[in-house]
Amino acid sequence: MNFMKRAFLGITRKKGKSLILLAVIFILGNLISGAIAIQQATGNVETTIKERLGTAATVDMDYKAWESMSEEELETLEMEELGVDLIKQIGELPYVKYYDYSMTTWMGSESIEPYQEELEEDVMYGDEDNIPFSLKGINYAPVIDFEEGKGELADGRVFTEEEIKNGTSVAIISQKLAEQNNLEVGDTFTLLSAVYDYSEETGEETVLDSRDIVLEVIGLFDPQSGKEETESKEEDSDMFLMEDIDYQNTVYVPNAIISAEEQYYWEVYAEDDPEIAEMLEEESMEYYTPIYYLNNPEDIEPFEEEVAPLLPELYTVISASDQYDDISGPMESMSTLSKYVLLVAVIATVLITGLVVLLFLRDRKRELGIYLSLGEKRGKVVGQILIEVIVVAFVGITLSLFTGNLLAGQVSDTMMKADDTQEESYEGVIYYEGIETNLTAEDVIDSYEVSLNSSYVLGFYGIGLLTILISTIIPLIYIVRLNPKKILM
Amino acid sequence: MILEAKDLNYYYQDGEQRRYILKDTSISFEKGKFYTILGQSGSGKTTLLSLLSALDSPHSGEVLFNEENIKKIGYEKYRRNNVGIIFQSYNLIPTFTAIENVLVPMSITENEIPDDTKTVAYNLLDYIGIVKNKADRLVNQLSGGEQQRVAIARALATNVELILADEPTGNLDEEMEQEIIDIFKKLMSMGNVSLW
Repeated sequence: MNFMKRAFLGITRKKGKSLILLAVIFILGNLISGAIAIQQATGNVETTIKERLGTAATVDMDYKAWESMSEEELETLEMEELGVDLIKQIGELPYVKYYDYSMTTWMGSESIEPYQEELEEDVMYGDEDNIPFSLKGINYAPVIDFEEGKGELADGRVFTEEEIKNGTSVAIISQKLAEQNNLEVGDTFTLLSAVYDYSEETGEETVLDSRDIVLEVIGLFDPQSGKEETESKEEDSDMFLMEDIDYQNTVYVPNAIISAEEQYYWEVYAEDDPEIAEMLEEESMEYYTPIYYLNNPEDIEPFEEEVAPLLPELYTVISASDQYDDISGPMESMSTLSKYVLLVAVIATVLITGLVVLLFLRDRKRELGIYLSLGEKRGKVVGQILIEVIVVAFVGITLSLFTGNLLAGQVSDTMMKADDTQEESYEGVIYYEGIETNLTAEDVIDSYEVSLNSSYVLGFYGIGLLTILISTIIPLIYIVRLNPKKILM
Repeated sequence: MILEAKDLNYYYQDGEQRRYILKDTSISFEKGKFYTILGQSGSGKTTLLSLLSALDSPHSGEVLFNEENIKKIGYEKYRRNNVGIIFQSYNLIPTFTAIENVLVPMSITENEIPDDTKTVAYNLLDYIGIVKNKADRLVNQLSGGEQQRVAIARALATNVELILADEPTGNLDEEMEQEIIDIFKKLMSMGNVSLW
């Protein structure tokens, strides 16, 4: 008849009181369980969405801050450019897996035809000026698009550091573009680099100057992500088809080639415009938007914190998770609410369970006094009561684990539906390559799922049992202070 | 001497005044003897017993068990291993059966007792007059006399050298009272009681 056996007898012989304690813990346990389930689910949404959004980040002008500036402030504002040195300095931070900074330009060609795919009626590819080829400058030799799975190298090779450094006339083109023009690795093709002048009066463009660029094909790529999307989303197939065609007509070249062409455009403009000529003397006309891929989504926050002080005025870090922050309102409000519910439920459990246990102990004062008169150690008497409470609490917590989870599912469904009526606005959304900007509140809500996973179960048992332990401490002080003589004689 | 009280003082503080229940009380008890302490109501019998059984501590003075101060032994340990206490109001655990009540101190004591505690407890109860049928009943289903017998069995269960009883027949009718006294006399006649 040791204290453990006595504890079990205490539970089974006093069924009524055990059931009352069980009911109290079960009811309060449901609140705790529900709050934890909602907390976990909202936390999971953030992780899931941020993982989906990826680890890409860039540095650009803070347009919101710019718009909020007064006219006087704007007049005195001297914008600094984002220098290559700073881009590289940021790229050296430990959070960055790889990065690139490059320019893009469009060119036409008389020697090759752009890749076309049959589109539905009224949908045309290319424009009147016939500049269908997008040249994407590369500073990161292995090509980030291939590393991130946007495309896959199907034949040939990627750039070498030497080619990037020297601006060698080499290119990686899509396999379909190559097939259409009977090009293979090692072949060359010619693009037309033209400088246009736009007349506001007539609305027409005239070619001011042009020159040929001969590029050697060193590799062929096959688009990956666009392929999946065109297969899976039938509704938006035309849109994705357009994106796919755009990508098929993309030509990766060392960034120095584009830089040289930009220089050539400005020089042509400068011949006609002395203001531009003056500008060219004073500053470089190269504008880069860097793209950084971080090691994992959790790095975005510390990366932003570390980069912010390095940036010139009015520049900010833009990442995919910014968009989540913008539209995660319903999720945040639910997370906050569940935090308060959890706090209140824990406090209520401590107080109510503590009171119930104390009342039951007062009722058993004589029994406890008998144990003490028989020389039982107070620690073991405390242990007996703890076992009794914890066993009942364990049953109550286990039951409320399931019911609380169900309850949380129902409550959050209702709350989500109520918040779902909010209008979404895409006004002012700027597209950055590699950074998803089409995340909707619906995506966030779809990712929300109250589930019975191991972290929830462990979290609930941990918090539940700890709460019960705390609530039993005050009644246990009562036992420690018991005087057997006063009770029994 | 198995038990000795020296210069015991016990009082209640009533404002500035001390109301003494025991003042410089000394008393000693020999092993194997049966003692009865008589006195008027409020004379301090129960207080003396509570001090001798270490359920309470004196304001001054000392209680020696086998010439060792019980404070030094440790009050809890002394109650656990050296003394069996019988109360006027039995003080049994109502949700336990008679046998379970006897088994409780057997699991608490550090004294050597046989491994088969349940058989020992049944034998003990049987010796005191509680048959197996009644031993398995909840104690509140037993009569007052039977409950006091269970209390006696519980006091004997840990093989202690000293049994202290506080008006053990106070709640019983005359017939029962005699039966309980007879049990005590029988135990005393056995000298160093060991019923296993």
